[in-house]
Amino acid sequence: MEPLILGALLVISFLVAFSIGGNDEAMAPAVGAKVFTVRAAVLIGAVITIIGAISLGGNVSEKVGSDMVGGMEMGIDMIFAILISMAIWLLLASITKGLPISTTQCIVGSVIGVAIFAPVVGYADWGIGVVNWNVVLEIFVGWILSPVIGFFFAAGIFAIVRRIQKRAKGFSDFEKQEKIASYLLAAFLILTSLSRGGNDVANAIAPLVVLPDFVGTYDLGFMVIPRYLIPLLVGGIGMALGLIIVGRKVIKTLATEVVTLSPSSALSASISVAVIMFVGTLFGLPLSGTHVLVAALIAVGWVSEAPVQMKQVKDILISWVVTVPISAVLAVIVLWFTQGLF
Amino acid sequence: MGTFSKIFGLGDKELQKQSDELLLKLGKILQSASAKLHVSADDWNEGKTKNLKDLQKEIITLERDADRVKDELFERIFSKRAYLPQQTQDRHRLVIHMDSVIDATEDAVRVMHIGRKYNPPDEIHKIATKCWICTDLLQDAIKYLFTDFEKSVEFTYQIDKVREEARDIQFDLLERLFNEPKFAPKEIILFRAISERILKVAITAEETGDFIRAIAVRYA
Repeated sequence: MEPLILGALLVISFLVAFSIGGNDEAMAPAVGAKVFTVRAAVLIGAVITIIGAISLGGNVSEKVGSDMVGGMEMGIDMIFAILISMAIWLLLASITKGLPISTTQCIVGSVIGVAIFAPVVGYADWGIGVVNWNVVLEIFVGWILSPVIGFFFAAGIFAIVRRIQKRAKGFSDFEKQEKIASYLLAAFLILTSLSRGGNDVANAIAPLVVLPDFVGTYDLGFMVIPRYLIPLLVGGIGMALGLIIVGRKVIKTLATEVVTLSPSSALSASISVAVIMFVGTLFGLPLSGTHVLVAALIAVGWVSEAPVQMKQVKDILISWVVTVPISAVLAVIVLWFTQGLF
Repeated sequence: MGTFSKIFGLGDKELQKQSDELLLKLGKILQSASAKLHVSADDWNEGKTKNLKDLQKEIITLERDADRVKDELFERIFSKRAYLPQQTQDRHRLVIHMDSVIDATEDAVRVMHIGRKYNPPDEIHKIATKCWICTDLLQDAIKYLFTDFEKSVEFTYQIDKVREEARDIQFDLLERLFNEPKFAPKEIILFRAISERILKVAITAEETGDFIRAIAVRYA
């Protein structure tokens, strides 16, 4: 591929990764529980994300929204329209109000937009007919289920934790419990960030790893490195910088502007998210990690009788509702402007 | 573990040890100041007014010591992540409450000293005794807060009860001050002010107890 185009693709992937990192809320529970400061959270998160991207992102098999279009092969301009529109909306949501948005939701909206609009830019086989509405419906049901399951499961888990905590005889015992919860939370979120780094980098660099330029190895004389490490590194660094530069706002919103968290409540919420996502994946339920986390945080706040900032919750819910249509419109606009560029 | 504590801001054991010692010291100062206030009321009642000045000085010195302990806790320990942030906040507020009891004690002894030339009514001494009991109970409530929520809460309820008794005594005093002709206007103003200041010690002790109860209820 022409170096200029290859460079442009790398830049776009970097921007997409940057936007994904900028909307990464994984560390929010630790900041909310004041186990990490925002600065420590984004720095630790950034390093772990890069490590995760490089070490776990090697088996990239992400097919951006292909299920929704009946397995039809997308053109590279379509893929980039989807990714760029996703990046724009993620960045807008992160920078303006620090709202946590579901990356999957962005992709679904953009894929629908691109699929419907594709015939206008020369993809005659495409159109509204190729959209598999059953899959779309399944995803929508998943989005409604995600917060509901997240809320009740996290509330249940934290209620059990509270019961255990009541065994504390005095303030010192309670502090010990919270301290242990802090260590577990820190370790748990580091692991979560590691796996997120590996998974999310796929969204940003999926179109790159299949390019012949990144197949094979580079022989540096003293060592041989696989070429796919380059896009992984670009994606990892992009996500890390996004997290450091933009991500703090999203983390702050979730950590401090929804409910007051303690290490034990934050740990309960985080474990709930992990369990729900694991079971969801096992049963093939399309649940959104962001939705589950937000609902879980509200749930633990509710159980601990901490005041829930309903205005912030309302803003988050509105952003979730508008994400699909906005992503669809953005994808159409991007596809219109980028047609024929790739 | 200690190193990780520092990295994650979960507490420095050495600082925690110093904090425990300082908190204990503050508790002792509180109890000592209250005991001296009680002795002042005793001496005043018995006409040993010469002692009042020394006792006032001693209580003022104790109050200054308490301020130093408080500052040390705030500046050297609480600001340096000795504990988890939420627990630091709780300790911070507990120290402020304890300090307010000591401040109230200083105010009370100062006003008492002003009125040393007058013969105090019995109720003043009785209120001072109740206050002393309140701070004694508060000491126990603080001590048990760290080891036994249930016991700590029990002591806070006892403080409430004794504070109510002190308030009743103060109303008896007011009743007498304003209805018995033997009190001169100056005496009425003075004894009322003194009784209110002494009662304030019990009130602040009760407020500290309420705060302790809130912590215990929240965490237990």
